[in-house]
Amino acid sequence: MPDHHSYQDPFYGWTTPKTISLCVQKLKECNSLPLQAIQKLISMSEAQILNEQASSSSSSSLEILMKFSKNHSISIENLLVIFNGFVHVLRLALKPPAAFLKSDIFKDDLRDLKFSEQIIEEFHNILFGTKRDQLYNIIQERDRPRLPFLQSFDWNLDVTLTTASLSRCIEPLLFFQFHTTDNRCLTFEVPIKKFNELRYNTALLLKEMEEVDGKQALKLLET
Amino acid sequence: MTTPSQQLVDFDWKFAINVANSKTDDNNGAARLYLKLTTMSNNGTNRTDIPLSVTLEQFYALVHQLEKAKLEMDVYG
Repeated sequence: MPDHHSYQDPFYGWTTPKTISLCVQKLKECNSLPLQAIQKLISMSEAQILNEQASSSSSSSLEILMKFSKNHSISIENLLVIFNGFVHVLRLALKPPAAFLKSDIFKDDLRDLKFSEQIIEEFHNILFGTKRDQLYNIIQERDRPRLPFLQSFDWNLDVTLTTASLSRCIEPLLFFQFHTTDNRCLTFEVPIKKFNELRYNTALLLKEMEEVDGKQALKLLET
Repeated sequence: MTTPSQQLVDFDWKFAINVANSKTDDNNGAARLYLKLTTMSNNGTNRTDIPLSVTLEQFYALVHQLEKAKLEMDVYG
């Protein structure tokens, strides 16, 4: 079987990251840690990536680590190094695009990092398991700096009949209301001229999006 | 219930009929009043605009309260 190293770099980069080499070293030192505890740690690292925002989950994972350190008489620092290494492996594996990292190449790379076969099996099940799409989605959508999104957009079209200063002005009146994800509610009036400009710009934007779609340089990598 | 800081300086209004809506269609034909109250602080520095939009029922309730206040003022005035 041709060695994949000739055409694809390992997913963790050119050199083994220090986090992972420390993790492997500590795993060798604390060989009193049973396989079930290791599996629990790996599934906790997946949970860490999925709901990093929920403060309840991070406090409970710290409690689980303290419980492990008491039950198996391993210092909490070693456990933290091991847990950190697992989370790091998952993050590095999620970095290349989804179709790029095939499962046997992933396992080969993990073997080069000197993880044991059971741990490799666990990582493989997490990365290619049921939550695969969710993991990739989270890394794509949530873990980058973003501005608040537009949540809902309402409009209201009225016809002004009378005002305090004019007694018979039949004039259209357009209101927009934007709700954004950071709970801001922006209401403003739109003059009809600006509304027509908005329509023109929307059509122009749609046309540009179609053109960008067709360009060669922005196509996905060959799978 | 006195507000020592702000006094009503201007009361501007606009009367409009709703023609189309992005929400449900049951509001077609509802009349609305757009009010803009301008208040100014006592020493004449801060001018604040308060834009409101009221439906007809709310506006009639407001007019009712104002007329009640006017009647009371006329009794004692």
